[in-house]
Amino acid sequence: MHVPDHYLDPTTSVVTGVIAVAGLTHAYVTMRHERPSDDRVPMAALVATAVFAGQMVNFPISDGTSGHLLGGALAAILVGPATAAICLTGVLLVQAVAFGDGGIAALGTNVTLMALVGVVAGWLAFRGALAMLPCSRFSVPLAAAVAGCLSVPASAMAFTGLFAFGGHATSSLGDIAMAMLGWHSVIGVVEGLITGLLIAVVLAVRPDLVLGADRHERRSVQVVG
Amino acid sequence: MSARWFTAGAFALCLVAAGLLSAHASGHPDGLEYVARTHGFLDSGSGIGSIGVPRISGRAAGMIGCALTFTLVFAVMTLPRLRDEGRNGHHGKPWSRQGRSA
Repeated sequence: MHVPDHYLDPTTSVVTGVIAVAGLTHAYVTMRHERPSDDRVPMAALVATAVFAGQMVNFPISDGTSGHLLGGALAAILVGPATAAICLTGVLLVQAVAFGDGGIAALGTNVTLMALVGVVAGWLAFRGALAMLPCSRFSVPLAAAVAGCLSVPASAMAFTGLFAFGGHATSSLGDIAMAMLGWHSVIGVVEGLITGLLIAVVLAVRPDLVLGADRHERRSVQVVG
Repeated sequence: MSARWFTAGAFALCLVAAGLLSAHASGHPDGLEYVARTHGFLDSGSGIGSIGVPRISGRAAGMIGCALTFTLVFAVMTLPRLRDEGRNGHHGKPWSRQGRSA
């Protein structure tokens, strides 16, 4: 999903840069309300490291294509969407500057697609799924799986939207949209499986470190009370 | 499990994923690159030329990246904490609600 420098024209890169700066400023200001405790700093650093590591392990899809974890939904459920946006941006910055994965000029685009759209889509899908699922001990991992599953095609659609303004290709935009959505829906299924599994593991070991589950518990307590 | 052990264990798992598992990862292009290749915008040249950066590579690259990411995000997350401590003159639990409202 890492966009190199030349896929989109300079105007689009500048626009996504502005969107990224605005979104990250908002995230930076609001993140202090997400987990008012001392474990937030190591937890955020840990989540970023896990996303970085996860993005390195490409899994084969088919027909010469692979996918990798994007991690937006995973990070949002663990530390909250604002902190997650900062985590994902840290990952993207290291990848662009030290590994040449995603362009430097396209950093704003990649932040917008993965740290903003991926995180927000993942978080909204998680909250939506959680509200619809019956309260049980499986509901948080299930909702996490749904969130991971939907966040990837959401990012892919956001890229197609940007490409409509600032990209040039031999194929029509409709074909590109269908191909992006198709492949990233399949990648999304794997993303959902990984997200659900990792959330289930953290819930089993340290349930207090899953911010999304914390809210869920509070909500179920309110329902009972 | 204490927070310290959880952090250490999870970080070790990240190092295993980035250092060992990634060596067996699929070498195929990812979804976006594949679509770019099949739909004619892999080398479209419509945008800015790529800005060259020195790349870390080799077997330890993934683990170095993990360490870089952890350090960077840890530092960024610590910044507002220091600022708040300075403003509130509060050093015990900088993220507690009492600390913010003070």
